[in-house]
Amino acid sequence: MIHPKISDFVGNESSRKKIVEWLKKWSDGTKPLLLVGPPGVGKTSYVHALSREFDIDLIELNASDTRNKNLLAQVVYPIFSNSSLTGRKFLLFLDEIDGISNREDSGGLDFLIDLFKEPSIRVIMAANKSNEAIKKISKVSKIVTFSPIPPRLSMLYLDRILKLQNASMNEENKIAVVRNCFGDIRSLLNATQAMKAGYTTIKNPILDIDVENMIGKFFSAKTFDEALDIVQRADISYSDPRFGQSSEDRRKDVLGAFFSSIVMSKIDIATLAVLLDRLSELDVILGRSLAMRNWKILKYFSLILTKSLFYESRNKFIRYNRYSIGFENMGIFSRAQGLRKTLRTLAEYFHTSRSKFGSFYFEPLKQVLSRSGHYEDLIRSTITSEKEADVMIREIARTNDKEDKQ
Amino acid sequence: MPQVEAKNLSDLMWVEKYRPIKLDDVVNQKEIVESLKNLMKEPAEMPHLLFTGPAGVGKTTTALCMSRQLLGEDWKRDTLELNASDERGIKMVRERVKEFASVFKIRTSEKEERKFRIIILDEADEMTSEAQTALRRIIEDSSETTRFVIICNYLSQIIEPIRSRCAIFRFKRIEKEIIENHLKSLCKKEGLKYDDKAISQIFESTNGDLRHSINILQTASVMGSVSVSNVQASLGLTGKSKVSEIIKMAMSGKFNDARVKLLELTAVYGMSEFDFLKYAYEAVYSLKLSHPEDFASLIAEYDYRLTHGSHPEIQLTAFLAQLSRIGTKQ
Repeated sequence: MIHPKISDFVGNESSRKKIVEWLKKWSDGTKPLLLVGPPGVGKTSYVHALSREFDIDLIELNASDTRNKNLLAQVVYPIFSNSSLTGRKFLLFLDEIDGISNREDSGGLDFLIDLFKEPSIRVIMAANKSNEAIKKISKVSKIVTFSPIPPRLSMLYLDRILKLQNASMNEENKIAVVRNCFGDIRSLLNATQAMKAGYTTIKNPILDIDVENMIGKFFSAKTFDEALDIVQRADISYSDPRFGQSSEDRRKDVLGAFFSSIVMSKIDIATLAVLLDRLSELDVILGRSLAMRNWKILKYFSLILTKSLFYESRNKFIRYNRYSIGFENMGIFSRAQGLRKTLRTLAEYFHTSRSKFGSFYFEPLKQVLSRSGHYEDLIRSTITSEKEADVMIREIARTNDKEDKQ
Repeated sequence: MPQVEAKNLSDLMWVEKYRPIKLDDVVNQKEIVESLKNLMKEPAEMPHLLFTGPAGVGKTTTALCMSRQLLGEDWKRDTLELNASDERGIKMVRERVKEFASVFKIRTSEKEERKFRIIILDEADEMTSEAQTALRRIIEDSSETTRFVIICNYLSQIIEPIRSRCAIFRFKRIEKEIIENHLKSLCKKEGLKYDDKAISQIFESTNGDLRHSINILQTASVMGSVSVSNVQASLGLTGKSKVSEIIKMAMSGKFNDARVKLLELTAVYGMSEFDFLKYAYEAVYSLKLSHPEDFASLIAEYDYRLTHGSHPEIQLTAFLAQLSRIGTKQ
């Protein structure tokens, strides 16, 4: 672990300056600071460095502590008394404040806001993203924003670290490390350290495997690590078909691709049942993290996916398939597409849901209409949209054709 | 057929043609109708209403009759019908209710005498509990201008805060004799002969669902006559039979045929995945298996996964694959 001095930091100069100013000018009643910015740009480290530089005792609470009212009071109140007794300066640092929630940290948020109305201790908070809690807190504090470190500065920083550690790295790897860290200095340091420790296969940040290749290579991979590497390098997306997908989303949809490939391959039902059960479990993990906007879970997803599908799917010769049904059944999609609006209109007309209409009305309606001599007029006088009516008329003609044949 | 030629689909389809227009004509819900009529005497004091009960016993019809009687000739303009099972999230409810309420505000400035508008929210038990929580706010925010009639099959799936804001009416299942007499009277009105056995067959298969019964009756009649064999054929066309066909296919190892049929049912017919599992549950019991409890827990498991997962097709296909595996083992 490297403990940087305040002169070691790169990027966000004006923001850092604001913090120093704030600390120098601080007096009773000064609003607390709220540092907002992406992870790994130095918010926390900078506060640590400052406390060393200015010889201030740092009291830190972060998201892993429960921050309910009682706990906060236990920490905060002694600071008042101690600071007057010992003459020491204290800085209360509340990290990952966006993780405070109204429910679990019962009363914690209100306690803080109350405290900040008449601040009598130095308080700095840090957050990654804005949410309801942050909005409330920002009203009673001064905001300082941090941005990702630009690549040029990241490279400068990397060079300096390498020099300091007496290490070297070739140009290609350096570019890969910088590009991979997306302005996050912490992840840059971790990657550098990993390389130093002999982990030389720096992952190319370019997602260089498309979905089709991912499926092919995953199922023919010799080892678990190889399969995992393939998923991690694949250009895929985690999307939720229930909320609409573009054709690009649909093609890149990782679970969709595994599903259609598995289900269309010729494997025994026992294996199929196991693999589909695993996919279904993966889908629950995905669905829940998307619904809860808990994106950070997704970084484990490729590992969980590989773990659940790898061992059972060896030597099954599963190949990529974009669609879950064969060519001969593709008509289902176009028919579904065509009928969708018509069925919605009809469901409303019959005061029922689309599902109930499809289950209990559609067939009777078709039967009755197909035996009525003037079904075209009937449909047109009920469904105002010409297009939607056309679809229904075609559907009835289809029903008639089918019955003639029988 | 001696009937007058129909002009549109609601003349044509008996469920609409014979849907009661006045509250007094609603079949077999006398007590509910009487107390609703009492409430309607003081429209300004009317609470929100919650109708609960099995399918096809007149919940939606009662709501529509009430709306018609309360709001007069413009009732359609002032009634918003929403179906929660089409859109399980809260977004559509919020947007459409907001829109509906804002139109009302413009008109009140013209000092029109209308006291409020009515929102009929059907199949509300299909909403997620988050959506219901949001709904509770919407009900409060718009209660000055709007009365809600919330309709559900299962009261237990409506969150307590909504239940406590509504007057609850429990619709009862319609008895055999009443359904059969009603179906027979429809036949008379349409000038049709019927087989008594066919009529009781309809009741047995639809379990007191009058709407479903009328659809079956009419389908059988256009097939030629209301006979046992035509009733059987009509029953075979319903979504429930299709589900049970898919279950049988899967269990006999025809996994691929089953999942293609499933896709057709959900994509083309628009049957919701949740309804699929609901009918699958009924089908599994009627299949008279040796260990129905295994299937019940499998269905429960997949119902849970369907609720939380993001790919409904993966969930239901995986479900069919489990059935296939069990089926081929037995």
